[in-house]
Order: sequence, then C-alpha cells, then structure tokens
Amino acid sequence: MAHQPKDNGDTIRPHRFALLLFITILLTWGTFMVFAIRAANLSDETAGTVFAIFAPGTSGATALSTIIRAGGLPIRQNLGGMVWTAHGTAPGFAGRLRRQGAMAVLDEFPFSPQLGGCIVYAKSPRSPYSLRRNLP
Amino acid sequence: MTSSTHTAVRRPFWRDPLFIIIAGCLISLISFGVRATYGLFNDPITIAYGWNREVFAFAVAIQNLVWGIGQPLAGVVADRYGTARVLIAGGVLYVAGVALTAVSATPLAMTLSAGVLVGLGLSGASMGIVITAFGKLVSEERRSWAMGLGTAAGSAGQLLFAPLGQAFISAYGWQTALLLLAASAALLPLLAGALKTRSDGSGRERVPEIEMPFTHAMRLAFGHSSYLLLIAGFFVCGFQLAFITVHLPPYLASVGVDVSIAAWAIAMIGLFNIVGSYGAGVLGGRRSKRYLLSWLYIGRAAAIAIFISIPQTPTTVLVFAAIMGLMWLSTVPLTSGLVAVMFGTRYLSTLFGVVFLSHQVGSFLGVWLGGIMFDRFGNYDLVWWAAVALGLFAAIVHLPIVETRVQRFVATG
Repeated sequence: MAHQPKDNGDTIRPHRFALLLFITILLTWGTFMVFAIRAANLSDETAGTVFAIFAPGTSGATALSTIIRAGGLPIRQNLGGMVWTAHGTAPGFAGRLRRQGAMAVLDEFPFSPQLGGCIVYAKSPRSPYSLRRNLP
Repeated sequence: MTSSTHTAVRRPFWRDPLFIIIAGCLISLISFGVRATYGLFNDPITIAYGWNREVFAFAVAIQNLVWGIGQPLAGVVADRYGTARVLIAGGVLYVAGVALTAVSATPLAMTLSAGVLVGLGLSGASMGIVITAFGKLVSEERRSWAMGLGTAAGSAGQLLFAPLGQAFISAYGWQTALLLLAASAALLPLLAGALKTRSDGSGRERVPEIEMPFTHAMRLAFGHSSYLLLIAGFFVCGFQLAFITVHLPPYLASVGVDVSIAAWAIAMIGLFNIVGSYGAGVLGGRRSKRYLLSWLYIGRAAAIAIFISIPQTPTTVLVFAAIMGLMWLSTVPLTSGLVAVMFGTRYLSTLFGVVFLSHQVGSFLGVWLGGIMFDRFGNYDLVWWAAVALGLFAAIVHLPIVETRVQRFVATG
C-alpha cells in the first residue's frame, strides 16, 4: 500500500513558521512603505504644516533643533520621536528641513493608527478625534 | 511488500498545507487591510465631489451591512460549490468595488461600489471564508493553530495597511491610491486556488465528514443548544469590540485624556490583537475552547470594569488597551473551532457565517447604543457597564456548551 501524501503541515514547527511568515510580511510592507514615503516627499519649496521624519534613534533635542534651524516650529512628536509635526511659513521649509537632517518631509497626514474589529471604523483624517484636533 | 509500497506520494507545493496556510493568511491580510483604509478616503472623496459626510459614511455603513448579511450566504455557496470559487468571486467583486470607488462620482455609484460591491467582496473573500477553509483543509491537530494564524494575519492587515493607505494618498492622490489598493486586492482571486475544497472538485478534505442534506444539517444545528449558546456569545464579542473601537477615543476625550493617547491605545490594541489571535489559536488546539472563551469574556468584563472604575491616566489607558488587544479577535479561532468540533467541516462555512452574522448584529448595537446613551446621558457609563454585564453573560453561556461532535454529525466508516 502507498503511504499517505507527505504533508509539511504536519511536520512543520508552527511558531517558527508563523514568525517567518510575519517577518516576510513586515519586510514586504516595509519595502512598499519606503517607496510610498519617498514618492510622498514634498518638494523643496513647500511650506506649511508638514511631517518631518528623522532617522530611528534621533533624540528629541536633535529633532527640535533641526526643525528650529530650518525656520520652523515644532508642533508635536509622533511615533516615539521619529516623526515630528512641524510648521514653517517661509517658502523652502521642506528643503531646509531635509538639508538640516530630516530623512523625509511629508504632507501632514495623521499617523493615527486605524483599527477595525470585525467591522471597519477607520477614522478619516479630519474626524473629530484625529490627531489634528490639537492643532492650533 | 514491494519497495514501491514505501514510496511516499509527494503533493505539488500548491497543495501542501503550508502553501494553503500562506495563501489563506495573505487573503486574510489583504482583505482586512484594504478594508481598514476606507475611512481614510472619507475626506478626499467628500471634498472632491462637494458632498456632505453622510454620503461616504452611508456607503461604508452599507458595506458593513452587506458584509454581515452576505457572510452566511457566502458560506452556503462555499459549502455547496467550494471555497475557492467563493474566494475568487468575492475577490473579483472586491477588486471591482475598490477600483470603481475611485471613479464613482455620484452618491448612488459610491453606494454601489464602496458599499455593495466591497461588502459582497468581503463576504466572499475575507477571514470568515479563509478560516473555515483552514478547518476543511488542515489536519485536526493543526486546525486551531491555523485558524489563529489566519485571524492574526487579518489583524496585522488592519495595522499595516492603514499607514500604507495614508502614504499612498499622500504620494499619489486618493484616486490612484484606491487603484493601488485594488491592485493589491487583485491578489485575492489569484491566491484563492490554493484553498480548493472538495466541493471545488479537489477532494482534499483532511477529515471524512458525514453527508446529509443542507436543510437537514441546518435544522439539526439550530436545534442544538450549544450552537445557539455560541451564537449568543459571539453577539457579545461584536458588541464589546465595536463599542470600544468607535467610542473609546471620544470617551477618553470626555474624561480629559489627551487625544494622542487614544491613538496610541488603538495602536496597542491592534498590536496585541495579533499576539492574542495567534495565542488563542495555539491554546485552542491544546485546551478546551469553551473554557478559553469563558475566560476571555471574564477577562474582558474584568478589564472593562477595572478600567472604568479607576482614574484614567495615560498608563492605565495603555495597559487597558494592551489587555483588550490580547482578547480582541482571539475569540474568532476558538469560536470557529468550536463550530468545527460540534458539526464537522461539511457545513462549517455556513454555520460559522451565521455565528458571524450574530457578531455583526452585536457590533451594530454596540456602536448605536453607545451613541444613543451618550446623547441621552452625556456619558458612556451605562454602556460600559452593559459591556461588563454582557461579558459575564457570555462567560456563563459558554460553560454548558458540549465540546464534542454532535452525534448526528459523526461520520461512520
């Protein structure tokens, strides 16, 4: 009699498989995010309220001084200090931020995480409870 | 015995359970992920067409309604004609719905695309169908783990696609962003083939199941008290999650907690949800599912009761969020696993679809009552305590569930 078809599903180490799957998903996601954020980088002459993204590990003091040297005002720290919301009225603010050390300067959109239970309730950027609420 | 009798038959990779699980997890991830970005398009679309907010909100409300009603119907079709066919049809509808959202310039068109088409797509090509396919295609030993992994993948999709969608909108504009999301959803029908079940003509079910007419099976299931108790319990899950998802940020604002903490709390829930869903799947394969569910609902009730009884600080909010995150979708692999234990996998998609519909009704009531009570009393106290009481109710109703195969569903031979 022939053996049953061989199934890796029965011999696999499940936690290792799950970990590898999620690491692969994260890496793929990260790649797409890098492309999307690069594409979203604002032109040098842009002014207004922006997101300044700094390298991981950048201290709050360094980020603050970078924003101020670029002629802007820091508004808020996001994502543990890696992303700052900053405002600068003079033209060329985005370019100056990059030259002073910001990795990327994006149009301000809320970095508020979205959540759905089994129904969707992702909030819109201008929902009453988005991060914009604290803006002057 | 000849040497040939020892030759193991090796399946092609696309029929290997590993590939099935990967494909199912990706379907779960993408379908839940794309859905989670929809709220981001509210403002751009509303501004572009000069509509009021109600138009897009109505379309998304219709989407949830169609999804909830469509899930058991998709389950019926999956059990009758095969999981892969439903996933392919659902995936095509999903892609069409998301792509057409980008060009829907009238309220009616928006309702039909973002509402009806995407809702139907979600019914056919999302986690509900995927985890029931796992139930049919993965060995019993690995079933609960696979269901937990599929649920965790859906949770991860919600967390990962939102910033991606935001970045897409920022980089390319909302219409192109929708088309990019539709392109990612186009993977759904391509991956669906891996989840072929016997009804698709593959003959790949791992466990022999008894054949009985659909109506007879439904009559038996609805006459079984354990199934009805499970439906009642999952209603509570929907009530609690939807209420917290929608009303936690305004609640925190009303008690003076900074709104940025609310955003972090939501992130904590999303992150711990992945861990909780996976962990529940693993535990469900080793321990009694009904007891685990009972403990989960007790845990939720206790967490909510403590949270609303103490002063809210950033620390208490984040701790509460982490604990709730662990118990967020962890009910899904256990509940779907219980359906499989009681009735087998022949009509699993239908029977879990019905349980899911109960969840959606609970979700609707959780959101709606939260709003009504806040308007009436100026606070959420009553609904919070209702969530506690319902949690205890759910914990109790899971205890008498008989966690064995219903006699009439036992396959003979």
